[in-house]
Amino acid sequence: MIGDNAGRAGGLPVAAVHRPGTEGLWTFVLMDMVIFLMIFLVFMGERLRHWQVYSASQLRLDEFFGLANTVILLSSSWMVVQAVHAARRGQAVPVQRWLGGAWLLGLLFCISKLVEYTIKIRAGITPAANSFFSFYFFITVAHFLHVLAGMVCIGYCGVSARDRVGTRGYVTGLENVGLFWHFVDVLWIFIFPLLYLVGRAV
Amino acid sequence: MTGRLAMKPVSVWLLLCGLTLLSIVVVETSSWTQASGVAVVVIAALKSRLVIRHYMEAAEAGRRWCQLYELWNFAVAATLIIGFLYGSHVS
Repeated sequence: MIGDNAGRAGGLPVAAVHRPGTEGLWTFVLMDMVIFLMIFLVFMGERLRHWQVYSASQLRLDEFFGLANTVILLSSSWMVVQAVHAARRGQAVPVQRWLGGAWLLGLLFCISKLVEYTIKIRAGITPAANSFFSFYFFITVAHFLHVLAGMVCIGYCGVSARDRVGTRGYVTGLENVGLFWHFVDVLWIFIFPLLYLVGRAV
Repeated sequence: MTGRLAMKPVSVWLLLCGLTLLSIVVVETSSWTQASGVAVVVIAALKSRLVIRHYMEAAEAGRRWCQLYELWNFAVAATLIIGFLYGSHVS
């Protein structure tokens, strides 16, 4: 099992026998990715049926919210990578700092998304407005829930880093959390063009 | 990260942010909707591949995982491009 290679078992440096994460998490993330692939397929199918409605509705989204959220998540992912590297070196304080930064950026993403939802709803744009906005809210809320789940895990790893960073299994656990957080990032990388950009050219 | 494609995480992050800005520039400056639509999906697929290979470290997890994740990446990009081009053509 991949996870058995991680940690600092037997005093060996993790990098010497390193394989990231556990089979279970790689499988879970892949299944979640497939679910989102299906959602994207259905979205494109509906877009083909209501092309004009989708094109017009897309113009009512602010792509700079999408841009800001993309940069926020990319930065947060980078911080989680730094935390994982620090954990492999057994350095608790840098792990806590990087995870703290990643968590705060996750929070910033949530605030940005809530502001965007508020603006939309005050403008009368709700999930019931049309098919495009039903998908917009469904896809982004599903992604939002993944962000919240990731933040809970990052928070737990950050809080427990000082006591556990040198223990067997902590590195594997953090790698799993990182894998999930990068998956959340990858999803947004596609959601951004799907909802905000494709077909929007002047 | 090992191998000939190894990049520092901060270099990957800079490249990802640069590609993100590029996708906005493409959409905001191009008047050819079809070309810009395809371009932003290709850029997204490149970004996703960078995250999968360099941040998720899929290559280190094993060839099987790397192939499956890259296949997913290709499938999503193909779905968006084919759907968009077909819709643009028939609309």
